[in-house]
Amino acid sequence: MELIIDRITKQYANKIAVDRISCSLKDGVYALLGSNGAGKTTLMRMLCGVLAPTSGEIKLNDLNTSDEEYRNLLGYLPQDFGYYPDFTAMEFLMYISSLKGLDKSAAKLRSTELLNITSLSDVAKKKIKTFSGGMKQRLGIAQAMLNNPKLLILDEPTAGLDPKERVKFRNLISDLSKDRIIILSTHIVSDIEYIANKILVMKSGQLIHNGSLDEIIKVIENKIWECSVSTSEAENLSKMYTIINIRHEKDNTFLRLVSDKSPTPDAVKAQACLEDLYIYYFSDISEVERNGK
Amino acid sequence: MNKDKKLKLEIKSAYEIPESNRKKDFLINLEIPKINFYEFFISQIKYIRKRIFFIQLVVMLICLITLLSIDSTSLNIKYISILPSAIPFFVLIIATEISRSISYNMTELEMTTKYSLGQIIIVRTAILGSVNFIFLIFLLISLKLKLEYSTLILSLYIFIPFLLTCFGSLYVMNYIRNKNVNFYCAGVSISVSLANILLYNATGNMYNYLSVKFWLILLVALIVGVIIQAKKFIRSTEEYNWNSL
Repeated sequence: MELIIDRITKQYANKIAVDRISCSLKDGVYALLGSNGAGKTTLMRMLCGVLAPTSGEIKLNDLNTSDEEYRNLLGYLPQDFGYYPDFTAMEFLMYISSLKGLDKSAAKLRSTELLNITSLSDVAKKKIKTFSGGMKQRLGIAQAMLNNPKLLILDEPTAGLDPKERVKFRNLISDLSKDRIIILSTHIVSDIEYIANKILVMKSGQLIHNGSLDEIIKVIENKIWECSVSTSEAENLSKMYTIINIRHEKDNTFLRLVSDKSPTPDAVKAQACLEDLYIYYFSDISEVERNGK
Repeated sequence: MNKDKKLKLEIKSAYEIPESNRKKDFLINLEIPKINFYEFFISQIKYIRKRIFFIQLVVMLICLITLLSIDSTSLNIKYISILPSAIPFFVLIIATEISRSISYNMTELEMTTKYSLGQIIIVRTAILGSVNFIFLIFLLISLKLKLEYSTLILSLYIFIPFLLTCFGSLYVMNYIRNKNVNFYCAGVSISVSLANILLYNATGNMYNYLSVKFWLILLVALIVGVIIQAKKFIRSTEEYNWNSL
């Protein structure tokens, strides 16, 4: 499987939501990382054929997003999806199976299996309107996987899941990642660290990084510092640097921050992680302020 | 038979079943059998709410009972105006079903399945439209037996309010894409229904009041209008209206 995204752009009046994104994705798990409004959902919707790009092309093994065969290979979990309130979990999965063109008996087996995987077997016959947010999310994940998709696109799949369910979800995605392309977006950085083979970082509609965790983290290697300073100094440093973590201790304040050079004489370098990178790129301190410092 | 069973049991006990190798991989990559379009069409009958068919039947029965209860010897066309006034509600029933995806925020999911939202809407409209068409033809035959009007006049009598409501409802669905769309469609149906009653009361029989030519032109215009609006609606299901919900 190869998904080719070729100079994809989506423009709404004066706003460019996705700006000339190009990349080629092969089998594996890809995580889309970006702040709210970065263009992740718009890109995912274009990949699913829900939105037509203003320009550019998307192809999955020579199939266009408008092709029935493309949709036949697709599994999608939207960020905010609805449901027919009178449906039970099983009826909902059987309904989506019918739209995915699955044979009834196969659909029943697959739905039962997925309800089991997503820990919804006990509530299979309960109406969806009685479900909690997390249960609805798990049902959404189950419906996306019904047709054993070769291209699985999940927009914020772990939103609303408790830690135990998130671990289960991560393991499920890892098991599924062979012979298919999985693209997911999430704000939960640890999920990405655990399951993604490659990370696509988006900012203001553009793809600013595309690589493995190690490759991406190189950007802030040797830039993460930790120090313990007085409260007044901590306030000054907060104005000057991108702060990743603040912890108030007995007499001092502990800071973890991003800086090209040591922010204080006592500061020590720390190992960079994906969360540092996220905050570095998407903090309130602008590039200009950072560079001008 | 018993011998076979015994042999099977003996073989089962003689061999130890080996641990399945790569069972998980096999299950994950298992090709799931698919249905064809005809089977998909049939499968969708189950997913149309039962109450929709029930309401269609109730509206139909109300029309029929009204028609039968009118004394044909002292038949007054004003009373018959009740019938075409009920016809917009046949359309409302279909409109509530096809706007269901919008009402319940299911459009994004239904757009990405093998059979897309456009196909789902066409299939459901075809199923409900067929039921409606049978009911309308049944009403037409009943009217023909009761009234001494030509089939053409009676067809106008039934299909003009029907098509006018179809046009209005589709127009509304093309411009209003939110959870309240059903209320607007109900507004269209009620308006056509009321307009029908008022015009009958004002004119006696509006199909005699103006020339048949006028009504035929209106009928053709409405058919064209409905086709245009329907095409527009189906095309709109091919792209998500990103800030509409």
